Amino acid sequence: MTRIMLLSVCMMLVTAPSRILPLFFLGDKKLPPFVESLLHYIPFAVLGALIFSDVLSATDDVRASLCGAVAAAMLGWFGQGPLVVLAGGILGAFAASCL
Amino acid sequence: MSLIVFAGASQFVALNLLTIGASFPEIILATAVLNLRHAMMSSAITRRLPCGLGWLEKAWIGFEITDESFSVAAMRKEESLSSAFLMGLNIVGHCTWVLGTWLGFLGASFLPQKIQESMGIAIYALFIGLLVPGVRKNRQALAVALSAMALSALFKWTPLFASMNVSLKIMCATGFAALLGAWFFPLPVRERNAS
Repeated sequence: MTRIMLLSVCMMLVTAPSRILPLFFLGDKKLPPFVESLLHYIPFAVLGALIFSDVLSATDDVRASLCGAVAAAMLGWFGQGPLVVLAGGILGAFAASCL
Repeated sequence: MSLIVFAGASQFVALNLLTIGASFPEIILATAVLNLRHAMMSSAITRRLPCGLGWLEKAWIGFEITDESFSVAAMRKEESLSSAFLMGLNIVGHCTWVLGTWLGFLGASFLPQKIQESMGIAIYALFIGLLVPGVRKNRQALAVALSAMALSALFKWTPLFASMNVSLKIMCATGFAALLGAWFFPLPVRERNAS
């Protein structure tokens, strides 16, 4: 147990700085427009990269994953909030896996 | 571990490596690489914070950045995020994470197998639910998100990149897509609102 605790502390020591330091370095400074644009687009790019193509292997069945993803994307497109999209995605995948 | 490390992917990897008997340095190195992408997220979120936060607030906000909390925060429509909003988001997120770890530990096998499998898509559905409304009326952002997807698929399916670490692939896809966005659709120059 103490080994795990020690490992956890070490893991924290390597994960925390990479998240915390940028807040201090970039803080309130003025940045060149290019960098500003870059940072503006990062959220969209992160989500895109996180979603595809890993979403296909999210469940045991590629078709079920695809159905869930498409259901979620359509709900999102038509203005549903994240929770509805979440439920729709799970239901979509579930329905497809039952077929 | 959930309480102080607070990084889903790294925790799973650590667990995997522990069971196959990897050494501590190996696990720690894997964790470090896996978490580099949070540096990009934290840099992006910084631009949306109000000026003049204390160092403790900054450190706390940084510590609590995850794929999920970052996505929820970054997709908010407001230009500037209040630190109270972020605190609330992070505390709720962190508590449920710890609680969920406990539930999983106690054995959350009360759900039928089929539903459990379908739950695997939950995190992606959440990401989709956050991304799609954000890009629906924003062509530039849509282009960036689509190119990130294309790049990430490319990295995944090209044998050349097979040896690349997953987090590194996500980082590269994100970085290149955001570069494309900044290159082709630069933001209009504007003054950053004070405080």
